[in-house]
Amino acid sequence: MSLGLRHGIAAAVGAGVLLAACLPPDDRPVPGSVLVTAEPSDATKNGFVTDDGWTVDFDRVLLALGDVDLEDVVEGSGSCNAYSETHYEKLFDFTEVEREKVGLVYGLGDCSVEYRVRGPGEDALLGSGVSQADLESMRRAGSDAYTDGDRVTLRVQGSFSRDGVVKRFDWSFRRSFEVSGCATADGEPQSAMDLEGEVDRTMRVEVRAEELFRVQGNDDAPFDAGGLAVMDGLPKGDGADGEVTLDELSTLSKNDDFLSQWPVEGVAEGDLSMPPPVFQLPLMYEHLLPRVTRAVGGSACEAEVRGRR
Amino acid sequence: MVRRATLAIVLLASTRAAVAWGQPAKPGEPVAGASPADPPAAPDPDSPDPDSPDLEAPADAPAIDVTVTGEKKPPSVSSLTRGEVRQLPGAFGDPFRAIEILPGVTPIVSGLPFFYVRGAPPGNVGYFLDGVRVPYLFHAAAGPSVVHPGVVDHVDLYAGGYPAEFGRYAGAIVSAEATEPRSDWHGEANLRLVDAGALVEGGFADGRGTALLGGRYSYTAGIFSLISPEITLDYRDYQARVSYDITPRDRVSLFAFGAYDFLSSTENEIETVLFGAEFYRVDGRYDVRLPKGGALRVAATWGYDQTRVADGRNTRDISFGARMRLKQPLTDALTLRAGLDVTHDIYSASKPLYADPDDPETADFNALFPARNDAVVGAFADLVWQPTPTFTLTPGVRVDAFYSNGADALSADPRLAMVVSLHPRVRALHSIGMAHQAPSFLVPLPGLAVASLTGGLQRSLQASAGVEVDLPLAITASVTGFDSVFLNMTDTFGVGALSDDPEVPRSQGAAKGIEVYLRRSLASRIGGFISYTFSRSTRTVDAQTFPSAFDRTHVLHSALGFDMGRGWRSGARFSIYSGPPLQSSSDPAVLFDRSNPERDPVFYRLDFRVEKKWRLFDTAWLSVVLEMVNATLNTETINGNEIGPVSIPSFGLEGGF
Repeated sequence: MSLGLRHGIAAAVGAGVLLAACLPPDDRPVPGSVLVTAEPSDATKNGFVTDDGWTVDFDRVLLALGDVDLEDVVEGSGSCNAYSETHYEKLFDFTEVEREKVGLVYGLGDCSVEYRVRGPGEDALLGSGVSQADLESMRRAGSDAYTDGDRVTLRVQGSFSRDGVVKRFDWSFRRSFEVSGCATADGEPQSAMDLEGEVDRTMRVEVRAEELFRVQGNDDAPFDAGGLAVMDGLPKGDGADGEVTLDELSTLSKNDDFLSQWPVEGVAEGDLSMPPPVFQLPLMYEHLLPRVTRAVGGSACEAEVRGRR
Repeated sequence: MVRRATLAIVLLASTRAAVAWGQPAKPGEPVAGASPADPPAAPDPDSPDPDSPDLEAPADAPAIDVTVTGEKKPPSVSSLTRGEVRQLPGAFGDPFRAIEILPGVTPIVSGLPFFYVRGAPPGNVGYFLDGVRVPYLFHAAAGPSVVHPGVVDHVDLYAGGYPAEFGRYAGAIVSAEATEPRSDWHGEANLRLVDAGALVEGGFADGRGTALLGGRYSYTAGIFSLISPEITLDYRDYQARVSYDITPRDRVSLFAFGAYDFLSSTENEIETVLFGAEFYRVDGRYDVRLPKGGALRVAATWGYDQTRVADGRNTRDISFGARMRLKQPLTDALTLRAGLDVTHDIYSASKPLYADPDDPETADFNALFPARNDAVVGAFADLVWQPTPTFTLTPGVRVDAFYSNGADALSADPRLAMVVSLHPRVRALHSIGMAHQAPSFLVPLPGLAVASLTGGLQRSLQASAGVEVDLPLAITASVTGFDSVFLNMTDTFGVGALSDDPEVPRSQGAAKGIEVYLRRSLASRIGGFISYTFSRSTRTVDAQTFPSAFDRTHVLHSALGFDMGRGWRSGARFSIYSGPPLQSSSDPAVLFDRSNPERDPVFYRLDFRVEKKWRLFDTAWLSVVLEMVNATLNTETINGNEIGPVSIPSFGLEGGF
């Protein structure tokens, strides 16, 4: 073999070796982590008494949480380097949960932790108190006045009672939210964190099913079940069957002569601490449902309605 | 009028290698410049396509050489030479990018170099350069192909029913052949707004040896830093080849090539890789010219593929392969083609440093792409039988044995091709063949291959029948009907599992269509083409049949190139295609909720190319080229989402000697 050939081959092989394996490994600085966990409020787990004297007990509170990610605290500021996000939901029965993991994400900088309340996907994980059948049930698409062909995001089953009158409920809500901007009542940020390398942080999410019984969408509004109880049997006016459905809760907007039917059997005058219209389904969907999850010890978070995908 | 023939003698205005060294002429055929060491004249990328002879050669054409081109193409192939591709508006001179205009090719999105071929998705299309498998063809961000065009002699698209030499892909084959080594010093270079490239080749040891070095480098990083400092986009590729003729009949050569793509975003001084991919190949060959025009190649290949995936991990494949190819005329009417090859792939992936270990996506990834050793061994043989000049029959068979992650599979692929000359100007072309492929990703990515064989191989049965007619003025017209059946495919995303394998969703599919191709070489003084495909590609899951993800009923490309004289040349291309089906959002278990769904709107675009060329001295040239893809700035709608406009302008200098 000639010297020229040897040089040529050496040059070709050398060029290949020099150019090989250029793609670097993941050599970013070690980030901090945020573990997001979820736990029920005491009322969700053990029941509570409303301001109008009804005892509310939750048999099941099925809710899927997940898809945790990190964003800039101020949108577009570039303050947060998000290293990862999660791509799954976890379905829980919050009457059975003590405190469980929702997701683990990594990042650096001033970051806002966000998560989603959404209908569970096919690959959703099962948390405490739920079965595969529950997951399939939640994944079944349906429609109501506010959603079209969406999966169930929150299903609450239980009863409220007073003076021997018992009303049952089994409500399925199908609206998904992206939850962010959690803060205390004083405005102290809870989901905004300055993430430093190798520092592990935790964000505790609380599930408060009792929020569905408020008469308005604020923390000072009283809890009221009487106004829900009076809806039993409407709109057909064929009498109460002991179960208050979402259809019945949407009655008032369709049944303007509701007040003319007053009083309703089993419900005493004065049970309504607020005018009846506040118990319309829109109140639950628009104002109460977004308040069901929040950071522990905090006020309601910002909840942006999102599609399932 | 010069017609195609098994070995056509073509009059060219300046040409490439006089004789394809690895493609010996048939006995009795005239051969010019028979020694592999003979230096041919300087190349001109604009020289007329040897496959499409043109009697209207430019008036300023230099000295005429005689070239013997390779063997007759099989009926399932469409070929593009560089000389022709260089004049195709919107291709930027890239033979690979020009594939999209060929019949049977359906784009996913205009301007992006991923396409379905006769219903087969990108992951089922195999890419080869000189017989070496390559994982992808194009640089990121609508960049050029990963191989310098100066290295590519021609590109063949085998849309289906391809020769037994090719296998392990259930769809189509894109095979590029490199130029023959040349001992005369020649080279070319180009300078564009986004990148620069160069290639030089010459001889040593009195012409017995040749050395080639080429490559391209993108300086888009610098340009992007002016516009968007946080974005880094980088790509480059290189090619190096050394050959040496040990004897007049024996040659050893080493061919190394590779490509690198990188896209990142930097915030707060932390660089996050958004996309990264690279591959490298070193192929050592030993070529022997056998008696009676036969040829033998024995080669060994080392490969390194790597991709950065979403969770920050690198997946890689280190491969070793060996192959043998034999072509030996047995009689005047019978030629044997046979070969063996073996490939060993070592797949691995770095651990995701910052991923939630409970995330099902992480678990799915680990299940689909575990670290493992894969191997495949194959053998093929076919016989080219030409009992009369008007009839050629090519029966063949290919057998492959696959091993992956503890599972194995065996495939046998019969192939049959037939060409009948019904008239001196009319040929009937038929092909049918079966093909098998291991489970694949929807889009090919370096170092990323699905591991599981437990659900079986993907399979296809592809048939086509057509008629090709030589018309006056060197125009060729063809009409081809095709019918493909796809079984056990892994291409459909979001489709429920059909097989017992829970990891890889499987589907059945079919594609039927008619292709019409009317062409006159774009390298002619006036050249152009019309390429139209009418097709239907479907997938079936649980007895429900629906259009496949990017089924486009109508795809039409047309182009016209014109040599205006005095070195000016211009061309325009018009492409229009109907929209893909809209995906259903109500039932994600099935992507498309009915057999005739709503579709995205029709898309069309206009590309143009203008070139001014100067000839310098006797053997050099310099060009200024202005080119633009989607000059009409049209946006495209995919699944209801408006994309773009994906418009790619290019202005640059090209030159060669």
